[in-house]
Amino acid sequence: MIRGFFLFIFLFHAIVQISHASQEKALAKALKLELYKDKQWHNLLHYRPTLLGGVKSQADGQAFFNDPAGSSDPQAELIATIRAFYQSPVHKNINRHPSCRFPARLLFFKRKLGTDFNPQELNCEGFFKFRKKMAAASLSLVFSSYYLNRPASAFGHTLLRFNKNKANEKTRAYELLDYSVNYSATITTNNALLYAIGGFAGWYNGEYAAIPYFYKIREYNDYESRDLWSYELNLTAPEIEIIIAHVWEMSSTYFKYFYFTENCSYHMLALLDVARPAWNLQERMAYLIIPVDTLHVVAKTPGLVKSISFRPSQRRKLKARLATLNKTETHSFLKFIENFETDKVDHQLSDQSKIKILDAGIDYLDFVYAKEVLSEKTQQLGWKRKILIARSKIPKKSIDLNIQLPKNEFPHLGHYTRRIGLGAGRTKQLQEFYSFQYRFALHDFLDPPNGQNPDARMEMGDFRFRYSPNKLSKKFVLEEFAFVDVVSLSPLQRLFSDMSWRAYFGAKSLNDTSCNECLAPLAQLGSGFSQRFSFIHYYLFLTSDFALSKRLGHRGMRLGLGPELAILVSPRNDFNFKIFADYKVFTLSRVKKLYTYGTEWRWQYIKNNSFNILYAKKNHDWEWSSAFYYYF
Amino acid sequence: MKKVFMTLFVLLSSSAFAASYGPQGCGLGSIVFTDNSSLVDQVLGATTNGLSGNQTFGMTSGTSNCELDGAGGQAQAVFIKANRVSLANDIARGNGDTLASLSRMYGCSNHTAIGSSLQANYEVIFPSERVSAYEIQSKISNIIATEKACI
Repeated sequence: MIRGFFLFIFLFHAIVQISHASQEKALAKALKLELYKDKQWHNLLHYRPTLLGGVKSQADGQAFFNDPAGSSDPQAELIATIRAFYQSPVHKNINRHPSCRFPARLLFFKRKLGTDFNPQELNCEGFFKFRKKMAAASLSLVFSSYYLNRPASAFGHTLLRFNKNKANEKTRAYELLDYSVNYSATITTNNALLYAIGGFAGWYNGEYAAIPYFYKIREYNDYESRDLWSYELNLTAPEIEIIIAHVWEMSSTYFKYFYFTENCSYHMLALLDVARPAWNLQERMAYLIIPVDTLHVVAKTPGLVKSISFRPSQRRKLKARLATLNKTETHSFLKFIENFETDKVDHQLSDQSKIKILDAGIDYLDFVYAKEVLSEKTQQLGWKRKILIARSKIPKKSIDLNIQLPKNEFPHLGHYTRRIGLGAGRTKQLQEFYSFQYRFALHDFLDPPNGQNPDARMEMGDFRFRYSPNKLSKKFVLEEFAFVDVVSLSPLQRLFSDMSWRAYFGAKSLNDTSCNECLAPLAQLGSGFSQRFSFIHYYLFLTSDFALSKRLGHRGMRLGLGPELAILVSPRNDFNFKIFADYKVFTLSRVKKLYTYGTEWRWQYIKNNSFNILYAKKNHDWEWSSAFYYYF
Repeated sequence: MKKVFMTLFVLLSSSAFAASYGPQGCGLGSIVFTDNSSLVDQVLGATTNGLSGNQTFGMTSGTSNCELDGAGGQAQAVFIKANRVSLANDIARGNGDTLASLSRMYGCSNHTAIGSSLQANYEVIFPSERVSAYEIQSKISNIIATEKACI
């Protein structure tokens, strides 16, 4: 008995000794190899250089680190982590052992240290279950394109999809069974004001989440009618393995969410950087990140993108359905959708025709009443039910829609998001001037249209400066700051009509007779209609105008209203021009009427480099100018 | 002027991101609808862009009702609940991605046969407009079993 006890103690000590020896050996090797300097180690811990020359992790939860100083000391964290892996599991809940909480770091050491690193293998139930559910043959970076009539949605959103099958046409249907990893902010307030300020200031916590991909399909593809673009990535199985393990690790921490810097896209790239540090994706991004930028970086990385596919939006599917209808069918369809009465579908028609009409009706109802269908409004549910029953009574299958991949709409083909411009020009009043401008985002109608929403202008943070050597005026002035300048067109067409509108908020140097060179806060809102004939677009709006400045008149403001017309011509991706005119009558200010008309031409001579020419005639003034634009 | 500008900025940005706060949950059902017609929402609001996304639910905490790794009919019911609009369309049409994916969840390798069976039984599966996902799930199971529709 006593001998047995001593034997036990001896063996126990021996095991502890061996384990301890193994731990010291692993530690020594890790330090010798200077793994704490390894790029992958830094990526796993999300270290970023600080201004003082050190590093600081972006992860904000202390539970993410094994050493109290781990958030800024890669070496201490490395030592503490190896020691932590060698701890004997004392917790009742094995899932809380460091080996189960940090499986990507565990993999890192296994791969770097080989047989010298052999802590006890644990049965991490939670992680193993997660790993099984995420198991993937390949990974795709998914980008949601713009949401019609919401120009700001053109910034897009990115997430990662873990493909159970290798991506191809046949497996597209089963994407619904894949998992996705999404990064987003957890909002803790119902106050819109706090929400906005907090979003810019990083008050909210961002977290990674793994959810079935079909939630994203329903949200983006169906409800918001946005195309989902998938960039399948060239990753090896071990790389995918460490990404999945790292996603699991991330559940123990959070980051501060910043709308324009550390946002969803930034953190998707962080996951890829963990897999292969050499890509260096995150560091190659600009400081301010617009999600579509990530596609540019990924597409520019040699060998990273294996294939590109897309899942068409509800709107695109509906258009494809409508395109299958012939004249008689279209006629019958239009009668049918007036009140969604299935008996209005012509009984004389063949089953095939009826199928096409009913199928188009189903998609039309889902598109037009997306919100009502989702929130289960009685009327729409009733319509829908009748159509579906009528459809199910024709015992034939609908054929799959054949929607071609729209190659010139690949979002990564678009021009870059930021733009600077340098130019010169002449006005009647000022004579010559030089201009400098910077635009944070994103697109106007004359920028190359490929990969962009063709029906929207979305400009944010557009600064325009002017320098005039002329004695009569100020030398260097802020000509304009557009906080937001948006035009959303919905060209008139059967079944798809919506209002076209524009909005401008910013400040402008009103170079007209009412106020020479005063920077005045300015708001403009307009709406009207637009039409498109192949590559020619035009819009006609009634626009209101509100500006504030002491120099406008004794009331210090002006209110105006008037028509505005633009004809936009895009014969080629690299060459676009417009003709514009507007007229406004004002009240409260000294000057009562203003008009402008002119034309602007833009030629992209090399990708992301354009040359612009503008001529404008105003009340008592004219201007011509030219500028070089560079997108980056 | 500075004041006016700041006010404008704050007003605008607040509306821009006001579009998507609300309780957490899975997928679309939990999106809080704001008045889509409001101009500011249209100008700047990207309802569910990651810029303002809030569809977060931690992987480790209380997510079972959104997940697909549940046992038995649980996973199918979760799938049906989230995809019911599209699934109803596919069953009425006898074909489609949602139907194909669901049939794979039932262990069918080919969704051609199951498509026809379910199409013929549309009104059995959806006896009313507001039938629950669990009822739909059990109806589909029954049809697959009785008609041996699953290959």
